[in-house]
Amino acid sequence: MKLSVNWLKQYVDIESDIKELAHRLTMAGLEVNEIISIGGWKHCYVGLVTSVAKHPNADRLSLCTVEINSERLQIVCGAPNVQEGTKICLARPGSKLYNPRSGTYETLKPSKIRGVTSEGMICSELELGIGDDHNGILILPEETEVGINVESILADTVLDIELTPNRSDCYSVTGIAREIAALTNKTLCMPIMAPPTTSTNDTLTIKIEAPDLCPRYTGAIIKNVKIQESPDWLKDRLKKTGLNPINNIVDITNFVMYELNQPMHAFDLSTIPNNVVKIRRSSEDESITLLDGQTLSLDTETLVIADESNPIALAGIMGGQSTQITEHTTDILLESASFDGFNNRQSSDKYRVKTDASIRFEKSLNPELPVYGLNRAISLITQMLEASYLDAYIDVDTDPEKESQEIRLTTNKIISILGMDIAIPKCLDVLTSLGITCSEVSEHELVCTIPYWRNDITLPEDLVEEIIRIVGYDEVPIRMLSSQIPHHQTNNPYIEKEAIRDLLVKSGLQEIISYPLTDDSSIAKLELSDTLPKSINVLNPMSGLYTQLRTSLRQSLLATLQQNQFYSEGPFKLFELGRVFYPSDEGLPNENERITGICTGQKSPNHWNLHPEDISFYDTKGILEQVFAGLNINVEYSLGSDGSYETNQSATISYLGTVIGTIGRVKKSVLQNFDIQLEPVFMFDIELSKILSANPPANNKFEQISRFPEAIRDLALIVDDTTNSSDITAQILKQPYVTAVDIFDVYSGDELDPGKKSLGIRIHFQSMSETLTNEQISKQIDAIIDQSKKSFAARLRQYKD
Amino acid sequence: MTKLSPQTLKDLHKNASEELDAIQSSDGIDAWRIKFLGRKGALAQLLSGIPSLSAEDKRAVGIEANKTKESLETLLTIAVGRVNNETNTAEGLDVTLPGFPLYQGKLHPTTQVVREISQIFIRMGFDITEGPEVEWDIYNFEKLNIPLGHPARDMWNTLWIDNTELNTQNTILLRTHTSPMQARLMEQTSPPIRVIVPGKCYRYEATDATHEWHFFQIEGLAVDKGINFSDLKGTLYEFARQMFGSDRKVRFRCDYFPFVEPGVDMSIDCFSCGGSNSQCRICKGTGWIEIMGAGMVHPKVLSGVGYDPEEYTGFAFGLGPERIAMLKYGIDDIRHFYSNNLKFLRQF
Repeated sequence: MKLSVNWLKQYVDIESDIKELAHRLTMAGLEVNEIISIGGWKHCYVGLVTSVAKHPNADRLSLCTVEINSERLQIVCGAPNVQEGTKICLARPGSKLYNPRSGTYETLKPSKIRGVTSEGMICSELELGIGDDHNGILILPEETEVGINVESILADTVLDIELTPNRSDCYSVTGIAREIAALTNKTLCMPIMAPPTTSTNDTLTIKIEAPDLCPRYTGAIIKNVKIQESPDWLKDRLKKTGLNPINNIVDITNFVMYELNQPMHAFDLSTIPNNVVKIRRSSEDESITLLDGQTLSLDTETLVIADESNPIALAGIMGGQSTQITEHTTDILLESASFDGFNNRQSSDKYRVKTDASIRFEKSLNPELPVYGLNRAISLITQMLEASYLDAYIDVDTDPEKESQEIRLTTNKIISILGMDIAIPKCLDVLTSLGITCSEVSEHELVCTIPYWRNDITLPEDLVEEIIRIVGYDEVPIRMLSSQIPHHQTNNPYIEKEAIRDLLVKSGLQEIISYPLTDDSSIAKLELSDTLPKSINVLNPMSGLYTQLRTSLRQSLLATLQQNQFYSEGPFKLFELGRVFYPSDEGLPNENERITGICTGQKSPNHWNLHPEDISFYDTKGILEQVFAGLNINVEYSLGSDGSYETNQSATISYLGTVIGTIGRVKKSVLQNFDIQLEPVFMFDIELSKILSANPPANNKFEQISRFPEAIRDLALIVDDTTNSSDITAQILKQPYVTAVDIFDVYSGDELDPGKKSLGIRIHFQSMSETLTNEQISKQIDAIIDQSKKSFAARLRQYKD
Repeated sequence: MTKLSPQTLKDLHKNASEELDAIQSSDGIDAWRIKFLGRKGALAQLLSGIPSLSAEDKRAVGIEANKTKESLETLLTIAVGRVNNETNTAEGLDVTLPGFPLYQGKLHPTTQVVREISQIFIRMGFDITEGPEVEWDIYNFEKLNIPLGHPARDMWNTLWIDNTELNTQNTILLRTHTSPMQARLMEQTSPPIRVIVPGKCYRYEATDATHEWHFFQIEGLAVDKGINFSDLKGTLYEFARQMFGSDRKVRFRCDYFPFVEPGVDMSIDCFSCGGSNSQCRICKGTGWIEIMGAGMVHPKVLSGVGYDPEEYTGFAFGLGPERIAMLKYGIDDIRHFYSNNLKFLRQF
């Protein structure tokens, strides 16, 4: 909220430096975003226009004589409203003014305009930076003293304060003045809000038909008003707050709203039959045209102000067009009421109408407030418009018995929250300065009565905050947590995931993090047809690209690859560890964590002595093997996977019989779907939850190390192309004394029959109890060859000793 | 055979070193080593006379013998280097050429900063855990003292989830902060609690240089008997010192979050200008940088999860790792983080 310091000064003495004041407000919870200075024009004076003549060389310009004390100056002016006898702001060369053309403040230079010397410039509001009006020059009130520096009458400072939703009281100038008074130890001086003393007639009928939504409604009829422009002081207040002045009556309702936080409304009384006003829920067939011109069809839960038959205002949000104040209005009905915050907010959300009134009412203003607002508005209007008079004054309070809230505050509470003691008399001082009435029950206890404007205070904790925010958080001592450190979970999956990230990064993969929202078409590009679960939709997506929760990470990786494919020749090795979302029977979706990675391009960056090959399936698989080794789990690979991959170049990965993921070459058509020009691209996609904590390293048991030497034998077996090498190695591993089996060579080609491959196999033999003899080993080798023949129709290619 | 004395050892040293100086090849050096220092070399032969010496001479010769041996070995090492250098110049390396690249990946900068922040709290006895990104309205708002229709809901523009496929009538949303985990943690365990929760959050918000609709937060929660605001100050002050330097100053100002009371906002003094530069891009000339929101857990939040607020108190805090990363690395636009441009990601 923007507000003028001059306005604040009406209610509280402000002596301190504004910057310091802004700092104190900020520290106390009212964050000052900006301090806007109005003034600093330097050589700008009040002048009297003594003559206006036509410029000899330009039709649209006037040649004026402006008197400042004894000096008479010749000024060229382009404004249509310059007139003899008016008082204006004259800027002399050297003044600093806003130039609307350049949008900056500039120093005024002496100039000749169309051949005539101008000894200064008559300023508009915009040029002075006090308003937006640039249609003409600013005319000062008649009583202004000629010759004085304009600084002394127009300079001001505007504070732009960011308010928090709990402090509805600070949506008003007096609310902030009260804070300043408390912070700077000054007295708050509230405007007069006493009820009118003139006698009134019973010409107004108010019927509250929805007391649950309108606990209080006060209204007054003021007759014989003359609708006109507001006086300068009033316009000035509103402009600096960022409001456009409209007319005297509307401006006063706005002024009171900003002064006291009570939103008000004025109706043209002549449009309300029999002076009857009802506060009720609307019915379904009703509609209303608002002041801003839009027509709303209402439902049954909308609170409206109605005349005998039709809605005339959306209660606490906006008035209707049919009853608005016009230049012909002579009698008005002033409304100052209290409406239910929840209902008000629902209505303003439903109809998408947010107004200065609704942002206040939705915060549930106290029913004590309306009468003060009404009284203040009546006194302002009747003072400003001498012919006007109060004709009716009604206060309908549905709960006149309500009592102010009392809260007990003890020293123990203060210590238990803050860790420091604040003496009860000090608390009393601070709370009293905020308008909270306190009585000291003992030296350790206060009873506090909460004033109507502070409905945010309901607990002793709230009072403690009030005290410490004024005293200052710097006063609270610094202490380290001294309580026992809680027992922490073992096998923390978060820490395990961090380790997996490290393993992938060490293997050369770059981590990416992408948006978990996607759309149908991106998922369709993966060509997984219906193998993915149905996706969950966002109700209010921000864009067509982010309409649903992702069911796969693949599209994120492939889109990232597409976007970066010309970044270098590679390697492109990317992974994401993130969540996908599947529907579940338990309400909240299953958030499945996955690791998905893609590898393509050269194996390593270009180098002067290295001509890198492209990344292969086995490079990619090697990365996963490292991860699985790090996790201490043994997985199995079997040919074939899903629609994103080339079927004969991809594998399903299983652990203990359960499928945990896939790896393979991404299908050409999928790459085309994503506009990826790199090829081949390899991808892996692992379901993290199935491998996390599957076999933590803590499960490892020490195995004795053999004291006897190891023997190594190589052999080459010729088998069918389609035989899985892992089946052969697994079988060999079962033989006595075999401790490890490696495949060191794979060959297929001219030397072999078509459809055959030769596997070079290195077998490690070792015994725990003896040195193996050649004979023992040969016997095992023979058995291996024998079994391989039986199980895999293997043929011995070569035998090395 | 020459008589063994300190002087004869000195003579041997002189001869040997002169001979060594003249050698130009590694073969020559090998021969020299055998001749003088070998098992049957000149030195060994000379020293074989030791047993026949008197006790006093033995001592003097012993000292001199050790000196001689050490010195010759040093000279040998130098000579080996000299000869190798001379013989290798022909096939010299351009040592300035780049080495063979070992291609390393990198963690996403957010992961790195989350890790750095987490480690500090873990050292202070906090556990680390995660929570659901798709959340019940009840946890995201109601259990945090933000009932339906509360004006404070405007502080979190929300992306709502269509629950028709989810077998529930209750409102579901993308969590707008990590704070729902405060309620979940307190329900799942009993005090003492000290946990941090990093994770993704979402807001229905237009993006600009300082706003993203998808971002991370790190939530912190400590609940026990006797925890108060001075513990909050101590913990967060220590965090600031470890994260931003041990001479950092912190400042707490009143702020409003419905789930804490009192609620504050912590700033650190500007590590870039220390408040001396009114044009400072980091602190905007204020001398202070807002780092996180915090406060004492609201009694209604405590009682809402079945804790007695008269028995247990606690503090909570929440901070944005992207903002910390932006400060740390001088990143001027938050939109870089999740656009996954490798030119950005490879920098960290």
